[in-house]
Amino acid sequence: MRLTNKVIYLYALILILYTFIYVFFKPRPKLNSLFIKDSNPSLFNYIPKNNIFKIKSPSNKVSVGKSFFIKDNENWYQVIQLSFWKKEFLGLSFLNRQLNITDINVKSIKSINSNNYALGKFQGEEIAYSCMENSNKFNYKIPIKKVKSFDINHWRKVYFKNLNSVFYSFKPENYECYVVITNKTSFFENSEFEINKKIFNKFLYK
Amino acid sequence: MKFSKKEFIFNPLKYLLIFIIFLNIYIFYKLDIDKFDQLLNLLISFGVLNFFSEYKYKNRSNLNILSIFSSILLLVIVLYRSFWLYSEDNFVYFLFPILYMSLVILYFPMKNVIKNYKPILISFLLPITKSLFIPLSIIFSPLSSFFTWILLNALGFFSTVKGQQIFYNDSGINVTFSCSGVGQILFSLSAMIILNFCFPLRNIRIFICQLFIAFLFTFLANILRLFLLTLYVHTANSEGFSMFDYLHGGSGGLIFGFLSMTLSCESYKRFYFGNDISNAIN
Repeated sequence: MRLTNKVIYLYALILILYTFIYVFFKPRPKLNSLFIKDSNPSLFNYIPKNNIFKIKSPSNKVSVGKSFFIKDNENWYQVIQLSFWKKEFLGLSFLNRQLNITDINVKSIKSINSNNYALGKFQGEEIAYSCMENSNKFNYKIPIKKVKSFDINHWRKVYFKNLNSVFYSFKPENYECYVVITNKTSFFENSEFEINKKIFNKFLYK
Repeated sequence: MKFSKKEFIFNPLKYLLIFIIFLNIYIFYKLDIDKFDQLLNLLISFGVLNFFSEYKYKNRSNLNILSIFSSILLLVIVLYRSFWLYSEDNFVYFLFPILYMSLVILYFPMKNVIKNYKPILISFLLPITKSLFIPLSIIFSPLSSFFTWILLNALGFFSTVKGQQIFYNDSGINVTFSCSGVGQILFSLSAMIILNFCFPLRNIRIFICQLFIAFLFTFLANILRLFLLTLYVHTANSEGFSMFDYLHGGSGGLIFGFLSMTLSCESYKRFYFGNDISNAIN
């Protein structure tokens, strides 16, 4: 048997092995470990009936982590840990489909400084939601910069960025944020202190 | 096809190519790639397979160690990269051409690879068209807006145009890059190139003429689409069936792609058969 014939078998073996690995192994963004530090367990571990906030990853660009429910006297807050492949892929439109959030359109996305959140209706109740990196950075989606078609410099940057992501920086950058869904529609207009007190002081992540 | 039945059956590389084609189609489907790109991918696969089927397996010369090493190295590199594929990852367009290159290097010694440039060129059509998309869109977005505005006014629908925006009544449309028709134009030109490699026209002048005709049909079909979109823009986001949403979405858009491709292929058929078209049909 000629050497080349043996190489064909090696080639075929690599290809078949790859196919199996591709089908069963899908790389996804990594998630940090999350620990709830509040000593009052009644705030947490409250699982709503039928787990109505259960969501699944829409593609391998997003990983869904732990979620927990906080309830105070008047309002409730559902927190869901998400990790995106890159920050620019951040977008919560898949939640609208999966959780049947209605009344969501362009006008229901509100901007505050460089942040934004969405207003919608969930099971007939007005809600606000956004993905929080920390208490002063949150986004429903990354705003798209308006550019002029003839801005050659912009398109040159787009080319280099695409080439870079195709051949070099293709692995996940693991941008993690926490989706907060709440019936307190003015929640995202609260001060940093208030948001920390309500959400971020309740857990640790590393 | 020039190969015998026996030749086809005993060529293991052809089975490998078919395997690669199916794998590539599966990955395109799983990553939910744009429908036009999936169609172009199928056409490219057909074109490459058509050429590869003509290679005589037994007559190929013995490979040197450089070819073998390059082929396996290329395969391992491309497969390592494709573990990290995600939806909207542009590397998916390079997957088939690079896998095909690795197979060709395994088939021919290096010096003969260049001689068989046609199927390699076909396999690289998708990344080439993708890289041409932005520069062509810069040119075609304002052109499409302008010609749509002319058509609207010529038919009595008073409208105004500002840059890439067309205003009609109290609403209007913004002709973005994806609405400029460049995707469809590149698709139909690629299809004509593949057809010309597989079923060559008599000379280069006729081929260039055919390319121009295909471009014209596709451009005009997109103008017609933009014209209808402007007229029905008031139905956008309305409850029930919206003509705007239908024509703007994937399914409605495919109607115009189908129209332009039918006309382009009919024109190609007429050029290919020349005056003998009636004989060819009979």
